[in-house]
Amino acid sequence: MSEDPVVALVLVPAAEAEPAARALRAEGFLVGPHVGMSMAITAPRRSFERVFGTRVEDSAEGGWVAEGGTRELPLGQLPPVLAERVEAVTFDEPGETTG
Amino acid sequence: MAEKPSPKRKRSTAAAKKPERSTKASDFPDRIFGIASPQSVGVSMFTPGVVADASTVGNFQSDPQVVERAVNLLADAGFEVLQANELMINIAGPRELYESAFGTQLVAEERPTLKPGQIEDTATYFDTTDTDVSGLCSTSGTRFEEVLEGVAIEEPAYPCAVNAFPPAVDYFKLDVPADVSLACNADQAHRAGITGRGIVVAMVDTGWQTHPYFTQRGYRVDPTLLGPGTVNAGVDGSGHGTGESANIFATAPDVTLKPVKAAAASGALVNLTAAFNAGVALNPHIISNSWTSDVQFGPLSAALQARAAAVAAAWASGIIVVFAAGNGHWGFPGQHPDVISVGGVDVRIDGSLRASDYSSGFMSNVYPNRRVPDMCGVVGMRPKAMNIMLPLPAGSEIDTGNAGGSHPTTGDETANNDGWAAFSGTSAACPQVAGVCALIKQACSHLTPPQVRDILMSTARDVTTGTNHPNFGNAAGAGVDLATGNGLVDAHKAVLLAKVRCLRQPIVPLHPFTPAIPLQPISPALPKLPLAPALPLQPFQPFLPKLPVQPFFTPLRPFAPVGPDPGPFTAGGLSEDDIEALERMIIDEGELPGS
Repeated sequence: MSEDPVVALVLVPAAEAEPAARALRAEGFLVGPHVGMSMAITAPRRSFERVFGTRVEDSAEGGWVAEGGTRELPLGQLPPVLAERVEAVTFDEPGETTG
Repeated sequence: MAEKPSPKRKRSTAAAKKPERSTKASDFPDRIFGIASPQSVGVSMFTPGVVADASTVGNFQSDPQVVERAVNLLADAGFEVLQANELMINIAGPRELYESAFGTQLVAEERPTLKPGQIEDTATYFDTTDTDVSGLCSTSGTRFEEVLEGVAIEEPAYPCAVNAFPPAVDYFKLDVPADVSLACNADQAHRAGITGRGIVVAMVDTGWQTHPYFTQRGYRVDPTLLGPGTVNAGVDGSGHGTGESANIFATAPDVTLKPVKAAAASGALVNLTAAFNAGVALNPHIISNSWTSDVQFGPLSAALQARAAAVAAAWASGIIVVFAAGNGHWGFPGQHPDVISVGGVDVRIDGSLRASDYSSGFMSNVYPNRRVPDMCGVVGMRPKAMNIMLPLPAGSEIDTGNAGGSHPTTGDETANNDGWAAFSGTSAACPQVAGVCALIKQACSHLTPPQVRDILMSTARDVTTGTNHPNFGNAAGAGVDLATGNGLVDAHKAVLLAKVRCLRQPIVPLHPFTPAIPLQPISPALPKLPLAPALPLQPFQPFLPKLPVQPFFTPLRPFAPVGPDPGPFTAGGLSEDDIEALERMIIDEGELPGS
């Protein structure tokens, strides 16, 4: 299994982005800029597994999936400060170059 | 035939010698190059301790009949035979073919190496488990034993100096910058002093790596920004980002390019939305995206909802978002309403135009009434659209993948480590149009993204022949169509129209976000788009226009004075009707008298 850092998108309203980002940083995530409805979070695989309470596996299509092969991560184990704000957390869909 | 010492080895020693080896399928490319040595008149070139020099090379030559038999046997087995002479046969094939043909197992090994630009990195070498000679497949006990004395797996190589000039090839193709600029009618804009100066273009792609083509022309490229989850800012293992960036400079040589890397070490694209967001946070004027996901129907997944919202937010903040329409894909976000969607037109040697059958064109099922593409850049034809010779890192994935073969079916006929490859696709068209957007922004800095798109569409050259990708099969015809949209981009006309529209438009500062991007419930069911406004987004300061809005108009040097008194050409002397007439002249006739 790859040791590369894992990246996911946190879907959160802009008004809630800053407090959500603070809470995620406190959990050890690097947090990217909020654009549109999402911001990226980056952390080692074990951090994702601890915070979201699910195994994170490499996807055959590229990127990662949670247990059961879904790209969306379960939110049930999130601390209230995050659970109240976050709409969804998902691994990105694969893409390819067009050249 | 001379008896040849066997290079076979005991597997146990091999395992001890190189413990960090991989047999994962993802570590192997689809095409592995090899050098097969036909049975020699003297000794095998793979004999341990044997040195090949001018005095011994005659020992390694082979009987032409043996070479011919070997070529036939390799071809029958399924290898591509790229070249053959009396010393060696150059072949290519997938890992599985090597393993079945020579009864061996290939392993991938990362070894430290110094790449061009003095970059310390690792490179992937392929070895076998059955010989002591690194990278050698033994033919003992196989059907090749009679004609081949061994097959060496090609190793990565990095030349000290890559040439700034493209290699000569024996087929018609377009060179950058000259041919691409001419095809997009950008030369005339450049002559008028519109070159993209002062405009920043971000490009989300596989990365960017230095190449003499760029440095010797003095193009401006900022250090690569790493998207989340990526490493090695100075390395573009794919070559895609580096090569496609040459299309931007072809149409806008004076822009500043800000590459954003969204590729893993394997070259595969990763975390695209996060990389796009990182690019948006650089606050560029334009963001160019030669990548896609294939989305024929909604509803969108949560990840693609986030991607769509990111695109819309960037567009709403004044950033011109340009996306490739796709090469047979239902391109997404190339079908998003808030992008400039770029398809492909093939330019033939006589200058005639036709729709590229490599490029997508369709009505979106996700966004009602959204036609893809808006207009086109230059793209080749199937099967591989190898028609623009582009600079890229020597030995990169595309350099090796397109190498050799016979154009246009099996390869671009260039070397696999020369730092050049022929390729295109809407990946090439997208940055060409992004460059034209830069020219428009230089000509009139306060134009909004929709206004820029309208100018591009209003001035594109109609393309009336050809059919787009067979996945869609839409034919080009007179006027707007699903094959090429409004046709091939025309930089000169677009710049002229931008200048005229700059005269008539009041300066309206770009608003930050409008409540147009709804936040829908994501789980368990996603709504179909278009999305109804649900939640206003906050103004997003970092995306406010970077440059101050220009004064009402700038003098229009290209316009010839009219009438006996050649006084200064001022907006104040023109009525609305005058300006509208000028617009019509540009759109209908191409340019103004004396421009």
